[in-house]
Amino acid sequence: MDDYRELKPRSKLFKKIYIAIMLWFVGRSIQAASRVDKDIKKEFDDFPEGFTFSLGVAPNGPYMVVGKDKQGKVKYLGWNRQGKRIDVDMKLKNIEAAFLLFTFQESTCRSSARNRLIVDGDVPTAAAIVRVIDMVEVYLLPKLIAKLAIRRYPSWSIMRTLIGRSRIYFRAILGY
Amino acid sequence: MQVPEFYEFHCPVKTNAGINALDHIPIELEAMDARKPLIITDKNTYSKGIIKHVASAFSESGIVLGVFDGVGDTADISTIRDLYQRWQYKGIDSIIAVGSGAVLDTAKGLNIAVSGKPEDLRKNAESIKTRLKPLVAVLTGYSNGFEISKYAFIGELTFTSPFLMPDLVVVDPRMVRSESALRIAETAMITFSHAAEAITHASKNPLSDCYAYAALEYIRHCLMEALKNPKDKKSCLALAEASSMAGCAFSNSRFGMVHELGQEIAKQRLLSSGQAMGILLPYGIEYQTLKCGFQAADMLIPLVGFNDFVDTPQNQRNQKVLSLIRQMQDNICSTVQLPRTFKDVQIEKEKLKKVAQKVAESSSSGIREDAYLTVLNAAYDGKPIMG
Repeated sequence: MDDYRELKPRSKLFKKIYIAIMLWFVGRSIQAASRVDKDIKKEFDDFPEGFTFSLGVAPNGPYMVVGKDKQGKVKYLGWNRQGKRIDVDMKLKNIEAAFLLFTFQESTCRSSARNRLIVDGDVPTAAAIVRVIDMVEVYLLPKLIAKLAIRRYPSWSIMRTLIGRSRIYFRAILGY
Repeated sequence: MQVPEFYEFHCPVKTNAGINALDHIPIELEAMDARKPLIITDKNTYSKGIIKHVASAFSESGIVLGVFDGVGDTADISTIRDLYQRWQYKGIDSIIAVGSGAVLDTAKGLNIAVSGKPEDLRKNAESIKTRLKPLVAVLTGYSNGFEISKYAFIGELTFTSPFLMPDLVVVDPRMVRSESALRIAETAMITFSHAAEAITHASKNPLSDCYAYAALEYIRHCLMEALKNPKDKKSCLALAEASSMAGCAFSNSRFGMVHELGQEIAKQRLLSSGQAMGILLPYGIEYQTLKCGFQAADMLIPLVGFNDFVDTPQNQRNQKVLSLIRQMQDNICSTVQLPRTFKDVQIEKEKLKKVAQKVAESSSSGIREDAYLTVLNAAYDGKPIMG
């Protein structure tokens, strides 16, 4: 049967590495932003102690895991989900969907509307996490790019954006 | 407004359409408890190199994909038998059919064999009574809506069952680009015929109307753009989507005259079904409106929009639709080399007579041979039935 052949698809290594780096940095930035921005802190205050969420790519990752410890502090818990109890598990359906999201070709809102995001857990909590990620993106990205990544750019004062941005970058790089 | 006293509508097809739609296939298959698909396509599609887009969707799955590209012009039992043997010892659990026509018919045939017993392929057309294995249809530039339908044509046999409809239809812009404006026109004519006959037929219902309306609107907005620029991604994507919508509407309706005659002409190898339906469309719709109680006016909103619909007096709406269809045919024929009449392609009247006879014999619609012949003769001369 010469008409039959077998194909082994190649792994998309570059895209995987890019998304892993982005998730790593966004995870650390969420931790930093929860200590810098009062709106983000307020969102996390509503989550119970020990709450953990994960954002990543189906089926094999990469992932980021963020949690709230007993003292109420938000912590980036790394990329490994093994042995962790995940309360809200958010997965992009595939690496291409994640690439569209993390290259800001598609906003979180649009990605979700296009059914590229799977949520396993409480939906209002997932919506709060998306709000947090949106705010973190406003801090991390220049306005021009952030406008592509989020649905509506907030009308924050320039001082809040600039000072918050430097503090979040500083904390995210140093990891505290 | 007419509320039907009774109707049935069945469409189990999930559609993924748009940017990166292909990449959703693995997770969709997983949801159907399938992990190892077999890709079925034909040589023409394989040689275009677009199968690599389907394969790359499985890049993270770590599986080795089987690809069969030996589907011929029509689906036949021997190909299905070969595929069945491959299925048995390769651990395949689902099918991804990439292409149109014979590719989907082969995939549906294989699905009948592997989901039940191979002998089911020899039984009568109504023998499929349970769900089959997961089937994904990836539309390409030449898709015309049959892919989505509940019909499979294998050799001389026709199978009909809602279970033959694919579980998932994927329309991705990387797959639907077409090289030829003529092929676009042909497939669009099939789509238009399916949608038009579904919308105007007595067996129509509000749900099939939704699909058919959307298909006609897409054709109205995108067909001429696609004909002028066959490589235009947006309009080709829209036409492929329209074909899948029309397929769903058509699966929930009875065959109309245009479809029946177009198929028979293609079967007798006088002309391709797309070209035949393109020629027959104005005359078939006109006849069915005049004599069979079809409401051509029901097509007016998707063809002209709501404002023009309201501006057209009720008693002129049928006529307006017929003139719009003729106008569309003229526009297409002046843009691509699509024949306007059977006289243009030198099909003899004697052969058309045989077509009418054959269709009248096999049709369940109760339309008589002379009615089919009237439409064929009008399409031969290019003159409206009412003169």
